[in-house]
Amino acid sequence: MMAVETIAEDSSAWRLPPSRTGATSKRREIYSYRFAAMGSPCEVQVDDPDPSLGDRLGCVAEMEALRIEHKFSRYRADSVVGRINGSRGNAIALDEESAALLDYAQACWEMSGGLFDITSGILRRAWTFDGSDRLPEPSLVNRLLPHVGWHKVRWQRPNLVLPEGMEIDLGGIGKEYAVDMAIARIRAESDVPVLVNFGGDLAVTGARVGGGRWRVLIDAMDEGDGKAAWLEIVSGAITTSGDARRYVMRDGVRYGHILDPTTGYPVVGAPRSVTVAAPTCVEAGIISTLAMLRGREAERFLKGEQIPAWVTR
Amino acid sequence: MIKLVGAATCLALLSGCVGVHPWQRDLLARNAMQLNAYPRVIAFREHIYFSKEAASGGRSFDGGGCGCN
Amino acid sequence: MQLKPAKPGHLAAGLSLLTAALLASTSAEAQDSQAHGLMQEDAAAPGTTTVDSAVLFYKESGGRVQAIEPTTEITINRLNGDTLTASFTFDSLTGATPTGATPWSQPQTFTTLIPAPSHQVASTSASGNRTIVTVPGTGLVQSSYSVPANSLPVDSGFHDRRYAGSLGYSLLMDPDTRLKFGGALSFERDYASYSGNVGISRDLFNKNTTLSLAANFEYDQSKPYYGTPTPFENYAGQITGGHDHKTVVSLVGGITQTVTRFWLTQLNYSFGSNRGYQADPYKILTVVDAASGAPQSYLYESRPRSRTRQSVYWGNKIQIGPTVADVSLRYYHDNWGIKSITIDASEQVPFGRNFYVEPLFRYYHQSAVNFFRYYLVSNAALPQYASADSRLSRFNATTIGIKAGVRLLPDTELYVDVERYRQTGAHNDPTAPGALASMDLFSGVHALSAMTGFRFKFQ
Repeated sequence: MMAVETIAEDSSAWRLPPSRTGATSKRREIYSYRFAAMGSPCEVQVDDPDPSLGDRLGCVAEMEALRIEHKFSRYRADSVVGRINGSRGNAIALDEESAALLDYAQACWEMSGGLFDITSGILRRAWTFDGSDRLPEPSLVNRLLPHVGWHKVRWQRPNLVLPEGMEIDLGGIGKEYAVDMAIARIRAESDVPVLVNFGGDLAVTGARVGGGRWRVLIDAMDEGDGKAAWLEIVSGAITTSGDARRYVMRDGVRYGHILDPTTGYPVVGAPRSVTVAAPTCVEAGIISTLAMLRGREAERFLKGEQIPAWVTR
Repeated sequence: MIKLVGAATCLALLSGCVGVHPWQRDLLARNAMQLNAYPRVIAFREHIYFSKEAASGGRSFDGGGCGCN
Repeated sequence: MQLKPAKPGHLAAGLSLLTAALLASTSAEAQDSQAHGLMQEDAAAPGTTTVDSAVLFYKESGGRVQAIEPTTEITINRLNGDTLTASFTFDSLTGATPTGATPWSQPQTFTTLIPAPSHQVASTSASGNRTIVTVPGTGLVQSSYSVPANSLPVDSGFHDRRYAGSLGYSLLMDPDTRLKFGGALSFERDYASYSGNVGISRDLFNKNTTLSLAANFEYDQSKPYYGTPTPFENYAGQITGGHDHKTVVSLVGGITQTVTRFWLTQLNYSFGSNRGYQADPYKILTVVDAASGAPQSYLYESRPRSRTRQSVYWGNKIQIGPTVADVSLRYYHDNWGIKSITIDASEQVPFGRNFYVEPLFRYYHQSAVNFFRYYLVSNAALPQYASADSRLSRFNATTIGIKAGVRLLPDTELYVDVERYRQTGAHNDPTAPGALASMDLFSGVHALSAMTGFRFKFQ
């Protein structure tokens, strides 16, 4: 989601004032290391011109991204998620990291009143978000709904029993978790400021050299719209939830791709995109997902939580 | 006593110079590094010392709440 | 598991705590060590409940006090960062305590007057050494016991049971501010205590510094079965007083500072003020003959009705390699004349993944209260206050001990702690009259304590 075009002003409710020209960042070369992982273009920006340092840190991030992808990808039968989804109702013993993620997902499910639910992934079988006007048959959605719901899962650390027919999908936090873990590994290697961006979910290790700010372009709208916003950060993470490319349009109503796990249908009145800033990428990701799920109440939810966020409709 | 309070104030001012970044709190998050890691053991010891010695408290509240002193 | 939706505006704070716990537990260090050792387990995260049940066995040498004290504490860490803590303790004491009277080269008999026992009064003699003699026409009886020659007079055969409970709640007002409040109750046959506390703490500088302030209010009732003696009342007579009470107000202010990734330090200043009855209603002093030192009579002790206390405490937790050291220092001072210093050190050492050993050492020294007297002299003017209670005398005390813990199952721990406590002080008073100058007046404590407990966590 990183665009490089020039920008016009964004009309969302909370807008970061544009920076003064040349006020904060020195004209310093940023080393950019790019690779692909988790189905997205990934980039590591290192605030140091030395290419060997940049390659080393970029490699650390790439290794961590690939490790997490291989461990938690639902497309691989030998990954932790693949084994869980193929367990046919038998108990699976999980390692420390997977157990910690499931504990976390469970706590988020509890705190969000059931809106954040890692068992809701199978609902995608009913929906094809390709910009067409195809809505699923209600009976198809109704047949999937009984297989959705974290309360049906038996999770007693370290053993998980997933009833047959259910699936878990860590896609909702996997990429953000990978960003935070990559940041941690990079910090262990070097004090040089680094920005890690996995497909639009990004975080920084700290301010740029000399205290300058990282500049990030958020491209939140439909292609060709030309609207975007600058954000400047010195710490923490930013994620964006949005339906710029994945939606169904029918009778003038736009159905975004974030599905409400309690109904099986996209949330009514969801914003087009929500960009959230938070201390870690995982937090930003959960908050932006929850904001989308609040539909028309997204702005009120974000304002109530006092989180810096930008909503576009 | 005043000197000690003064020292405490200096400690507070130094806070800008010492400390850790949020991502360096891994060891401090451990149970073994908590100041009150085993509250029942601390409570037993405080009860014994309260009933056998004249001084009390320090960590938290003074006063014993039992008739043993 | 249950849906516990966060209150509006509180989701981000709870999420922040949870995420910190997640990233700490999956950090590079945690992963490189494959599985957490017992000493690497994290403190309870939001959404977990901890139950800790333990029992203390305490025994002083020389037939003195023995106690058994089981206790249980439950701590519920809610997802929104609030904490609820509840505890219950039961305490059963038996044995003998020094009365404060001095020994003598002849056997001594201690006689007092009490109301004639009805069938409801429990006998105070477990060892059968009390004799009861009716005083005709008064409705009173004389209760006496004797102690052998050349031995410290102790009052044996008492048996007390205490029930205590506490409840506390800590509210996370915003990610950096906590408000706490709580209360405690304690009931025994001759004593009741009621207390309440409030406190606030604030994190600064990225949670590297925490400032805290707390206040505690306590109301204690002393209700000895035969009444509360007035200061210097004669032991031989009947106690005419009823119940009495005291109130205690204390304040504690502190700074907790993260110094390095391996070192956490805390400095607390405490102030306390007690007002009301603070004497021990069972303790006496011997009035001795000015020339020979022989006991003439016995008087109940007298203590001031107000006491102000101050202390400074400095505590540290330091990670040294795989071990954790706990070192603290406390200086205490009150207006009764007590000045004391306490040094505490222990080091928790892991052995393998599931076991640790923690040797510990404590040194304590106190000066005497300014009204401490081993005895009173007959024909001399009575001082305003006097007490022969060894807890108010000048002494040193050392504790050496060892604690060990084993992880039986994930998130459970069985621990054992054994400690030896010894008080040492002057054994005689060379200025005492007559034969008393060479007698051993020391009544300090030698005790062994053993604790064992079991704690477990669940979601």
